[in-house]
Amino acid sequence: MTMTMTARPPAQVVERPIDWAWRSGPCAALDHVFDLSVEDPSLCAGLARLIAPFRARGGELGEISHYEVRCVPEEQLPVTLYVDGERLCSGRTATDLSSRLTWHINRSVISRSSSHYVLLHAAAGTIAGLTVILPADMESGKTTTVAGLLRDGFDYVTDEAVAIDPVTGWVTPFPKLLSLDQGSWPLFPDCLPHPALPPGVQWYLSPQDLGATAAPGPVAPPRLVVFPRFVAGARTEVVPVSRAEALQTLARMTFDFPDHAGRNLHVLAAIAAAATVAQLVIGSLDDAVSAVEGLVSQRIMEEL
Amino acid sequence: MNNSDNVSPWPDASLVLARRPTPHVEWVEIEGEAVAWNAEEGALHRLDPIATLVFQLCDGSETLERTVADLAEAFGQPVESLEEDVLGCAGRLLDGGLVEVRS
Repeated sequence: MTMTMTARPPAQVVERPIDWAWRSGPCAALDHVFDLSVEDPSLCAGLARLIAPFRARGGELGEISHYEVRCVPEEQLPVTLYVDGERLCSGRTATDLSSRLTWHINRSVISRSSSHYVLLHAAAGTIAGLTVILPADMESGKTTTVAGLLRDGFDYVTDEAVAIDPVTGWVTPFPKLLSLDQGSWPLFPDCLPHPALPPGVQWYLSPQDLGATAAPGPVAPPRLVVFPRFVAGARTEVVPVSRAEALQTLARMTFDFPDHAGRNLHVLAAIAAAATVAQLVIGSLDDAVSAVEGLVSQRIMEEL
Repeated sequence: MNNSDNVSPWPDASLVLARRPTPHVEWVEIEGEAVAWNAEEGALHRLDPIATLVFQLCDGSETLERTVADLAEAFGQPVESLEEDVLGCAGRLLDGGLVEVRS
């Protein structure tokens, strides 16, 4: 299988020749194609871990963005992350750069993929061929809940953006490392931060850290749509929602919804009509995982 | 867009209303409730079942007065008992830019 890439104009940031310690080769996160070059050998392992889920194995790739981590040891913040020659941030360690690199990859994925896919702000996992999506605003418990599901046997799809093919309804994984906020770290005491990428503001977990695997390719259309809502101290419970209410929330969770409103509305309506839909008030992770598993079992029984 | 929204003045019952076409308004109906997108305002509306029914009947062919009469007959109720609901819904649909007056 051949691999073709279209190079962007070369960055003109540093005139000196650079002896790269590591180059990723092409990576693809949905429709965002990129590579990463790292000058400082001490940063390679951490950053390589961060982008490992996106290493491309071949195929036709589109326009490529170049991330570069350059090093100027005499500077107070000696390493700087660039994308296509534009400085993104500076720091001392891989962890210092990781949140900005993750943010930029996420942003680029959304801007480049929302015309190709119906793209939902949601986490997702799959088990027994049944795809569960967890659409929600930030700080609602998406990542924590999907991490709990992975620990209980689900395969990983994403913790950030569910990419739905508008024709087939199948979901293409965006399996970035799970970005777990500090408040959730005690819930995963068996997971140790990777030594090459110690936690900063967030803790980056691979599905393997949770004893799970990532879905190897597109997964079936969502059959369980659960809107998580973390409420400290609340009793965990499944709250029914109407399909129209679910559709309204799905639309609100769709990136760049207005750009393809008609298409998005009809695709989301098909999902809301076919799936089990519910809100999940989360007071405890274990109870939330049990509740989702209960909905999965119920759905599987209905489909038998 | 629920019945509890601020009540607009009722539109004139002699008006003929029509759903605004794509791409101005995109909509789907699911389990008796319509979800409609007004592209100009960038607003998504969820219509309750009564508003959905009125919205679907706004096809540019009949006056609101006739629509009220048709619904009264269909539901076996007096016109007076439905007039407020139907005209109120029509007013909110106009306010939301989901329908337009057909001249």
